[in-house]
Amino acid sequence: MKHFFKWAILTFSAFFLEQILTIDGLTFNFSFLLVFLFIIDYFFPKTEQKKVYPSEILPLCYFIVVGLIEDLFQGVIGPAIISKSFTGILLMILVRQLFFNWTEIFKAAVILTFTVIDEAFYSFIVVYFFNYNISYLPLIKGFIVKGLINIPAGLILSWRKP
Amino acid sequence: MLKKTTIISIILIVLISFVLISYQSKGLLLFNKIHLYSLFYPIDYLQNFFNELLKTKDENRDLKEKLYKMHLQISSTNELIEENKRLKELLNLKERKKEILTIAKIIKRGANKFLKTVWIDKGKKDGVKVNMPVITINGLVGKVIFASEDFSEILLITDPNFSASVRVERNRIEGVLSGAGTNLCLLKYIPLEEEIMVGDRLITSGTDGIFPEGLSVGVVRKVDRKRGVFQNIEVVPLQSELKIEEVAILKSLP
Repeated sequence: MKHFFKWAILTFSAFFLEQILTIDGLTFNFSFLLVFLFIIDYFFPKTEQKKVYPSEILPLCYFIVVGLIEDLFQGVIGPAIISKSFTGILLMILVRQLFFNWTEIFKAAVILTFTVIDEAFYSFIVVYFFNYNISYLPLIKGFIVKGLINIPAGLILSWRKP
Repeated sequence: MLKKTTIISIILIVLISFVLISYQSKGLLLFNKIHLYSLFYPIDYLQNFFNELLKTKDENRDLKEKLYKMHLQISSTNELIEENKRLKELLNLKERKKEILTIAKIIKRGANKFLKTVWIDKGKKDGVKVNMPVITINGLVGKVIFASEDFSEILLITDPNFSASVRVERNRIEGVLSGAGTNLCLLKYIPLEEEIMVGDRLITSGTDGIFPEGLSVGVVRKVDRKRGVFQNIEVVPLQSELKIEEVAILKSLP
């Protein structure tokens, strides 16, 4: 129950901040941080609670919920569900690779790369289906800025984890 | 690597999502946007209230000044309007009136991931509907693309997905104005032989069925005749998107 409330508050806060903060018309992608933090929390629990082979369905359900909330804010259901599920699954595969040393620099690189992947998935789906006219260069710049902003937030929230 | 059930679940989720997206993209399925403005709106309202209270004196003086200027202008143009009406009656032309539906305040910028939009504090309750034109005293701002009960989303003229039929005030040449994705707009489909000059003012032509005729839009900033069939024309909107505080929503054309 404690765990549930913790994640409910974290999810609400992330979306609240995402909705009220903008820089020069650029929105943030704090919802990806939820996916990242959930993976870190779930797959690297404290030693005494360590699971032998943790379930993959629970994180997947969480990614869908995060994606669904994001979609509801944009008024189009689907793109964020797909992007968050895919990014989450890719992260899940990454954390299972035991040869990675999860230093702070590696975590920063993961946050940046996966924020960009999440944004790219989302944008591709929306642009393809809704035929939006967009300028690609500012869009890519936006992805990178969002990724860079996520780095300090992600590192602080996952401090000394795993 | 991944369990079979996980892979099957992902495939199902992706399939269901794609079906939903394709229905939504064709307009067969619509979902309402949710927003958190209701949560922080009272705080925002109080903050604005005190800010406005401080500004009221100066604003009042400025508005009085503007009112006198407008009064003088109106008295000199009234005669022309009457003459215009008489001539239109003689030619059997119907006049499309521009009527203001409501005045609204900007409460949020940049909430949409792809479109350049702003949110206003008026919605369906106040009669706001999709596609209604939005203006300020300076000129055209955009059009309504989404309306909930209390709030609405406005697509700005600087967004590449925006388009309006416009006319050059000086020589009546018509073209299509759309956003450049920056703080500028582009005037499209003007053939190379037409003469467009830097400083030409653009107004809406009223032929797109959305915007009434004669709304000020912008001023030509740059004309490039070097490439292609049409000229590349940059337009500076008369209303800078960063300085919009209040807007007027016009009633849709009949």
